[in-house]
Amino acid sequence: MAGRIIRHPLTVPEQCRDMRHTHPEFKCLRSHAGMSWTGRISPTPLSEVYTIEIAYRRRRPPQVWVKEPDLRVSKEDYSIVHIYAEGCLCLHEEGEWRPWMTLSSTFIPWAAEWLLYYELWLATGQWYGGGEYRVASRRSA
Amino acid sequence: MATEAAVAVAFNSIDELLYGICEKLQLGRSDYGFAEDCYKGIGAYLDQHPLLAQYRPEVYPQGSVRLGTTVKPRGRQEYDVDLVCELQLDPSRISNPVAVLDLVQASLASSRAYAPLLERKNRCIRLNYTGRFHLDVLPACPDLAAGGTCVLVPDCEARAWKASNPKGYAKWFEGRCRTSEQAILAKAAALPEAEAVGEKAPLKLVVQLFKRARDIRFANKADLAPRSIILTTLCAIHYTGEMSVADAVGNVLRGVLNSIALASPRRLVVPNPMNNKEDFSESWAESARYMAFLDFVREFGRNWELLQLARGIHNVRAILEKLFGEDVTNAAVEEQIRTFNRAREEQSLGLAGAGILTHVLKPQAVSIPKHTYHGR
Repeated sequence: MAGRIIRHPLTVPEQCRDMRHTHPEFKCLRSHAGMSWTGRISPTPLSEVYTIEIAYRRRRPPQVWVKEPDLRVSKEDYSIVHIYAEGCLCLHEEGEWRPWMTLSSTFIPWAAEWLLYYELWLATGQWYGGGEYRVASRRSA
Repeated sequence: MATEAAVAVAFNSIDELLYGICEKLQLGRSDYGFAEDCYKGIGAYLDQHPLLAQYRPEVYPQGSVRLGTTVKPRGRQEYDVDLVCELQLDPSRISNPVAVLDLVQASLASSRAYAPLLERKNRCIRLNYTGRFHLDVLPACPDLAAGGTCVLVPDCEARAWKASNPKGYAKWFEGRCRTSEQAILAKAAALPEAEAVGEKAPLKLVVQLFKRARDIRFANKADLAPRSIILTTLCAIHYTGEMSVADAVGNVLRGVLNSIALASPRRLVVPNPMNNKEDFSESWAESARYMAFLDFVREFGRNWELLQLARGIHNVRAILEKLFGEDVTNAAVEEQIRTFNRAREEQSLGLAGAGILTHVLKPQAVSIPKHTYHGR
């Protein structure tokens, strides 16, 4: 299932099955609004271990939050490090994620990359991950 | 998900950063080539010189350039390149050892190329290649009583011979470079500094790191800094064949701290392992110098422990910067960033293990689709 792209929008149960298969260590929570998965990742062996949460509601782009440890980013720096005002990560442009893509092959590795660039930003004061800095036309969710 | 340890594209280990630091510390290819040309030129010149030819001078490198442990000096200092000019003279028949130094100086001074560069030092004739390095020519005679490769060198201040054994030391050091996994063969008289960091024996990198840590720590009190030959010898004695440079530095630090404790209340003595008449650490008879060395090793040890526990590239970088300086640490971090971003641009990144960013060739990896960080 890893990396598989199915050309029809995945249902919530399909995303659940994929996550169970690819990231069984992630804790899955179901609520009336949708699903969320919480798990620990560390982008490199030298990096901290981060707890992230992916919130997913059907027909809405998923959101990724870093739950632990607290991010050391002031609100003024949110745009530099690509964080939305609500505090979740801006990981893709419109059109780069499609509902037929699994979360495991997109948001989890994208978040891992973001965490690496975040540590490099803490280390050097520079954002090495590139990205678009134009004003977004939508809120994150 | 696979449970085996994944290999990250970049920032895979502290060793990778240490390699990057050592790469920046060593004599660059162009300086190395220039130094080699200079040393061969001086050898050929002295060999033909009418004052010296009868003593069949043999010029060979010693010290860090011979051992492959050079460290870029900080600030405006030039690299040291040390050469021995061994003359076939019987020291027991020379009443004034300083005359040998005079003889080599006179030979070099008769060259229009070398004369403007010369500077007389206590045990050597220095040629100043301003901005690049200084080349110290140390006259020596075979120590016939001690035999082997032992030599005696004239000391101006003491007006006496001092025992040494640079060839024996280099051979001993190369022997100590053997790792647990392979025997690193001794190189001939060529300058081994040409070796790329990745091909170097871990011990050589350990020595470079100790010397750099010393230079940073003693930046404002250079007169108290422990000599390079002491650090090199201590590293070689306490190195036990680790392939990992980070492990090796940690074990050497523990070994040195143990031997300090064993020697206490007396000071540690570091003799030339190939000529125990030569005490590399004689300057430690002055207690301020020895205390400065103890403080240096203890703080290095504390920081090394912190480095092993540190998580987060920013935290690892901060400790490395404190130990080895900002310039080389930044360069090592940036090299890793370039490696990572190259893999990202080539879309060869994948995810494996506990969220480790790896190459997609790993069977358990998931390739990562292209994405653009979005901003507001």
